[in-house]
Amino acid sequence: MKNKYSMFSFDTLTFFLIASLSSNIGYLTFIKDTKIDTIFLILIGSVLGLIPIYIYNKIISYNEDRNIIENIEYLFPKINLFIKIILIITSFLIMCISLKEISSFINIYLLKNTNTLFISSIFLLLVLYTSSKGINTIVKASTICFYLFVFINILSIVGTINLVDLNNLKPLFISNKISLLIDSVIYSFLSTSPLFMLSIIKKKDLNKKNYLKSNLYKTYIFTSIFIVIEFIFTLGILGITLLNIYKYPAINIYKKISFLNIFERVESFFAIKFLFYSFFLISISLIFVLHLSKSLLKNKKKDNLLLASYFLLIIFISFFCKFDFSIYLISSYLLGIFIPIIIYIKMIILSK
Amino acid sequence: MDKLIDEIKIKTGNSKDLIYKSIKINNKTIYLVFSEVLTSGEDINNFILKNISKIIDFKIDITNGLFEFFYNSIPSHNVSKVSNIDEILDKIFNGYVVFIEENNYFAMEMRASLDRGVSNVVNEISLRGPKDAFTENFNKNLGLLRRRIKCPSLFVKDLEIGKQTKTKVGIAYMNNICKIKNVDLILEKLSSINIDGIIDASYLKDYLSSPKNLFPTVVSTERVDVASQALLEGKIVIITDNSPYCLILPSFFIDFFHTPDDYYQKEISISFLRIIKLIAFLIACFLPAYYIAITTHNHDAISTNLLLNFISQRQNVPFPALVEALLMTISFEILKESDLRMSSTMGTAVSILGGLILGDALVSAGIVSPIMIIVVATSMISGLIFSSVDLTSAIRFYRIMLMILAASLGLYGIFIGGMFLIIHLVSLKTLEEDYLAPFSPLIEKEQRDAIIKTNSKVKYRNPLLTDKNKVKGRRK
Amino acid sequence: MKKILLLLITLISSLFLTGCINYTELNELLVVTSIGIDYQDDNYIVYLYTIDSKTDDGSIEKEYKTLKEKASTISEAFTKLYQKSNKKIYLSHLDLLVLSEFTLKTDLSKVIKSFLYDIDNRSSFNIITTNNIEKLFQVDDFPNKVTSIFTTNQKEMSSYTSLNFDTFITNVIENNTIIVPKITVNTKNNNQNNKTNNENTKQEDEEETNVLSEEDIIYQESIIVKENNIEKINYQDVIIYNYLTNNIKRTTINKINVLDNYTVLKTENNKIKINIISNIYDKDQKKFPEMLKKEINRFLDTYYKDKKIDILNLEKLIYQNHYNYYKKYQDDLINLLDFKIDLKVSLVDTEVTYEK
Repeated sequence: MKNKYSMFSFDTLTFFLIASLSSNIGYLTFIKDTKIDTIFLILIGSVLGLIPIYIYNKIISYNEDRNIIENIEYLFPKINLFIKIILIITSFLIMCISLKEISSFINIYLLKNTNTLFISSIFLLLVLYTSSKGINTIVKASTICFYLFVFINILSIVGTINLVDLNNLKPLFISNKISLLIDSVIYSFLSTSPLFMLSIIKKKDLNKKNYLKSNLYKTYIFTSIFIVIEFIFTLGILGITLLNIYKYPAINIYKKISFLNIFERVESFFAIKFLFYSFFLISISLIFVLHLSKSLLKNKKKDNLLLASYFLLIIFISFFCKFDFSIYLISSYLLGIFIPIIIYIKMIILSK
Repeated sequence: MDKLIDEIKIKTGNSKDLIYKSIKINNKTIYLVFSEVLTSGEDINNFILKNISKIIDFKIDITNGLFEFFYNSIPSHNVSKVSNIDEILDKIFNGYVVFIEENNYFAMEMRASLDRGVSNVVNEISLRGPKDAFTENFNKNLGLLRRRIKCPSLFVKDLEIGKQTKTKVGIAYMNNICKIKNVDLILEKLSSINIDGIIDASYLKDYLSSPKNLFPTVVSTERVDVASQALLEGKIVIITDNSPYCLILPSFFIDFFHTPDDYYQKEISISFLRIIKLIAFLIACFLPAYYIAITTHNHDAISTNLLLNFISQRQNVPFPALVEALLMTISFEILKESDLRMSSTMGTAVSILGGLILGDALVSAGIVSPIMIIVVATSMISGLIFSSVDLTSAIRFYRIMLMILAASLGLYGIFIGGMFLIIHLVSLKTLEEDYLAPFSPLIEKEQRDAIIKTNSKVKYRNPLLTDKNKVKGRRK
Repeated sequence: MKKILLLLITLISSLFLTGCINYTELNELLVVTSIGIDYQDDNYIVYLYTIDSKTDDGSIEKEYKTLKEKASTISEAFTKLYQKSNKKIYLSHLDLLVLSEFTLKTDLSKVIKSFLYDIDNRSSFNIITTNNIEKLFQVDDFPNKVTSIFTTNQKEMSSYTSLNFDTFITNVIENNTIIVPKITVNTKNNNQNNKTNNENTKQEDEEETNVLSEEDIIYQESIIVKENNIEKINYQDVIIYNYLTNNIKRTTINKINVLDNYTVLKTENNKIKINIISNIYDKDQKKFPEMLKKEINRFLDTYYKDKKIDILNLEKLIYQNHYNYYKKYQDDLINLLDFKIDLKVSLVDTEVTYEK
């Protein structure tokens, strides 16, 4: 008998997916245009992001016995192949981009001279091990990583709160307002697009499934508040000029923590936080891609061959190809907004 | 009747410890067949043979109904009828005396007690609390349990496992607390065992949990109070004949951090000790790997003075850090194992040798740095804080794996090893329940006893183990 | 099939595990605690101060060494230093960056770039300046001694302003004024000692000139850097500067003891209000307010009106709080500033009350 996923574990997994790319490829790409008004960018983007979440909730609750693949096959009997291929390519690209990001992060802060190919292949082996165990392990592992995450964040807040200079948060309202609105729209779907991959779960497998809607909204609001607080801390400690220079400003504020002369030099330990983000994003997208490609191939015996071939393909692409921000933008848009809206419109048409 | 006895002799290879006593009563012969080594001769003399000789002396006239007469009058507490030769042999080798009369047979229990009696606890010692332990006798074990739980809802189901050994295995559970589907699951698993023989209860562990798991999912204990506490929570206790250890299912990861002392001492001290046990678990797994990662890859994780200290100590050491650590762990393991197998008369000399060699001589010869001995000794001692042997061996495996990962990849390798540990633990299941139960699917009501023990007015049972009788007790 | 895959994966990963590139033994590290950069004749001279430790029957001895190289750019000097030392130069434990006054006059962004792109950099070190780098590097364990001088100064005299590498970068890029504390190395005493000891041989003379002790390092003044120009500021003025930037722990101004203060600077276009609440001891109550106002006015007049140096970085404050006004009067802001000081004194009880 299959166990049901508990709601709290589902919430922690959504937390990790939303917060995953919000900082590095999220608001930091806009900081040269919007400067300190990035606070408003995050706030407006978070409010606008409630719309995609409403659509995802409707898609998951459409039929409790079906997950997204069966829904697509039911709603689009003719063009479902086309939609599945788009979904595979977009989530695959998101996976490769985040893998490249995390390998460069580890290369800078933890292992300084090693090749990124080596680092990313070891990371991918770990992700393959988790994906072979199914979605249930990832959902449960996210709760335990969440406890460690909360511990790290409390320590970092307590250690850096006296270094915040509120004058660094001024002047506000000096950037171009139209570009601010456009960038906040872009940020809204950048931060919510990984959630679409959670529709691989059937709603009947969730404990307390009637609370799905309120829980999704609650975790989204909680995560956005957390991202805003994190941004205010980094900006208040470092200042806007240093944020433009450093690629990973969050780690740089951890270098300044010094408690009682003992608790120093903790940035290597706190770097685990960023590894958690990428780990959950990559493993969920790998499961998404695997389920989709299994439904395309309709052959159950070649599981391991598929895994091995994806492993080699991901490493090849993430190491040898150069990714622009625009590729990430287009794949997020397709995965997070374009295809869910098509599915939603078809759902409304069919119900009438 | 003679045919039957010949058949028995052929099937048992005419072994000398089977005794065939023939008694003549009123021109009819009856046979008593029993095994000399499994029955107590005193009881047979006093209860059976004396009564039979009385009957013969007083020349009571019994021509018909000899069988019924003996069946009703011989004093024995456990009498049952048997019908064919397989059952006869079964009863003989279980310590029964079989009474054969033409075509009617019955068996009386006259078992010898071949065990050592209820003795003290040897391995899991507690400061306060009862000290009686399980023995190798099935009936005595069950009696010790029933002495503590006098409720009639303590059900026991019997099984015979093992083709050659035919060991008796009992599954004990509280019918008004436990989930019945768990019992059915265990029965299904145990009845499908196809094995030669069960020598000890640990043979059953492989069938009750998957052998690929590194961490144990079954608790084996020799203390009676632990088993009765588990029964009251809704768990299932498996008692095996000839084994002083009983198995408790389902057991979660946090159960290995609980000692029987938890309910006999104050709550604050117990919470403190449990937190220390968690810290000891982390130290035992991660400390040598962390030290290796700091001194080889990530030198910026420690302060300048500590780094200079390490530099000065590693000046003369010819090996890299990983080889040093593996050398020390292997020698500590050898010392631990030889200490266990040695008789107590030679124990002191060996411990002095071990201390001299590992402590002084290695350091002054310049083979190992003193800080490495401190690190490895701390982690070994922290690993010994648990009473379960399976958990310490799992920790040993992880320690070595993490050391190798740390030597090749530094702190990133420790992250990979740690995530591997988390994912392995999360995916384990004990009897279809999640292994990291009060934490991973978060159960708030169980948190009051998982790590930090608190007091509440109403005590609830674990919802994963019970679905009825959910309230343990109330406080006014 | 599964077993073959597993075997392949383990074989491939075991190939990777051998020969790890990032593996460095502790003995191969050259731990650098201080770097000095000097600039002469269009050449940068880079000094490295390294620590090594050895054991002798349990006690740890530390060895200090200085390495010196000269090149036209800083990165070239570092490559020459790599060739000279046989070990890997490790900069994660850097405590102090010493710049000479000549380097402060050059383009500081080049100095910053050479550190920012280093992979071991932690950017958690302090910056000081000095008059003679070579003599300073001859003192045993001078980074710790310098930091102890500064901490005592901060606690007892409050005449020290710390300069972190991060604030240094922001101020260089934004073109603000930077205050760098200066350590002066006294060389006069050693010359006098040499003249009296005529009986010593030449070798001992040379040894004596090279030995400097802790008493030869003193902190008297700081240096203000603004757009390749440097100015001196003595430590009494630094105390007033700390007063205005809310950094006082305990100090004496004109023989009056102050315990601590709370200063707030409020801006309103070009008018600047300075609100000070100061804790002093009972006995100094009468003289204190006028004396402090006089000192602050003198400080503001010398730096804002005479020397035209924006020492408190008020332009940045106006930029942050009144952006539109800043845009209009950006070029001429120093002349338009108007100060108003509001001083409150609160009394601290002492052990003894003595009234005449």
